Amino acid sequence: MTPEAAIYQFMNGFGIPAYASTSTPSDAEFPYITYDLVLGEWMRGEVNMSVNVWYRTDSEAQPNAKVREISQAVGLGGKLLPCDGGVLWLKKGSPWAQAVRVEGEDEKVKRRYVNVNVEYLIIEGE
Amino acid sequence: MKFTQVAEDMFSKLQLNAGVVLTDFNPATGTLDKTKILGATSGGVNFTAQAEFRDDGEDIDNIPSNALELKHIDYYTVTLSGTMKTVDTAAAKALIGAATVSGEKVTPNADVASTDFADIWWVGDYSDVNTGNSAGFVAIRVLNAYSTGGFQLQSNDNGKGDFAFEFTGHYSIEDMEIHPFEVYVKAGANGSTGTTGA
Repeated sequence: MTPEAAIYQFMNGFGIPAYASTSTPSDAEFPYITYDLVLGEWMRGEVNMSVNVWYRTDSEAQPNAKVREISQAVGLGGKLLPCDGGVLWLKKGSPWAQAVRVEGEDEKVKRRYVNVNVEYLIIEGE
Repeated sequence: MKFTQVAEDMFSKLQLNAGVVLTDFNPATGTLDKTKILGATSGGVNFTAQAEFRDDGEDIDNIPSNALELKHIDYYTVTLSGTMKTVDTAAAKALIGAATVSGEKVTPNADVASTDFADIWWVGDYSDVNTGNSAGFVAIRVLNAYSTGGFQLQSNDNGKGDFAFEFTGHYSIEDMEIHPFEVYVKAGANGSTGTTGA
C-alpha cells in the first residue's frame, strides 16, 4: 500500500466519506472529511496535514464527536500506518482542532479544522 | 548515494515516544498496569549505564593501554533521570528516598533502610507494532533504585511544577555479580496493530 493509500484508508475509517482536498466532489454530501495530502521524507521531520471535518447540522455535538473519534484514533502517542517502505507516524498537532466559521455557506454548515502531523518513516527503494 | 542508506527494517526497530516510569513491570507479559506509573514526566527520561573500567595492563611495561585481554569492568553507575509533573505521597517518598508515609504526611528519615531501595522501570514503545497485547516495547529495569537527586520542586508562574528526579541503581553485597540494570527489547507481534482509524 502506498503512503497516499494508507492515509486515505485511515481517513476513511471514521464512518463518513473522506476525500483528498484535491479530489473532493463538488456535490459531496455532508458529513464528510477532507484532508490536504502532504508528503514527507525519512529524516526530514514532521509535516503538517490539514484535516477538515464538515457537517451540515444545527448541532455542534456531531462534528465535535467526530473530532474526538479522530483524536482517539491518533491517540496520545500517535498512530503508525504501515505502508510501502515503512510506516507513517501520525501525531496530534497544536492546536489539535478548532471550529471555523464557514463564510458563504448557510450557518448550518459546521467545519472543524484539525491539525495532524505526519512523520514519514519510509525508505524508498532505488 | 551508495552509503547514504539505512537498513530496510529500520522502521521496525525504532523506540518511540517518552515512555513511562513504573514501580513494577513484568516483561514476560508486557502488561502495563497504570497504577504502577510513578508520575507523569516531561521532556523524556534519560537512562545511563556508565561502566567503570579497570585496565590491568596500565602499569605494566610494554603493554599498551586498552589491551582487550586486560580490560575489566569494576562496576556500572546506573541512573534514571528526568522531570516529573505529577506527585503524590508515594512519588514524594520515592523522590526523598529514606522517608515514611503516614496519611498525607511524608517524613524524611535519618537512616537509609534496605526497604527504601526499590526497582524502578522505564518502559517505552518499540517497533512498528505497538498496540494491543503483543505490542513491542523497550524496558529498562533499574535494580535497587534509590533517589540520589534529592527531592526537588521548581514551581512555575502560570505553569505546572517540576519535580526533577534522579534514581541510581545499586548493587547488593548479597550477590555482587548482579549489575543494577537489565534491558529488554521486545518486537511487537503481527496482528496487534491496525491501519484504520475506526
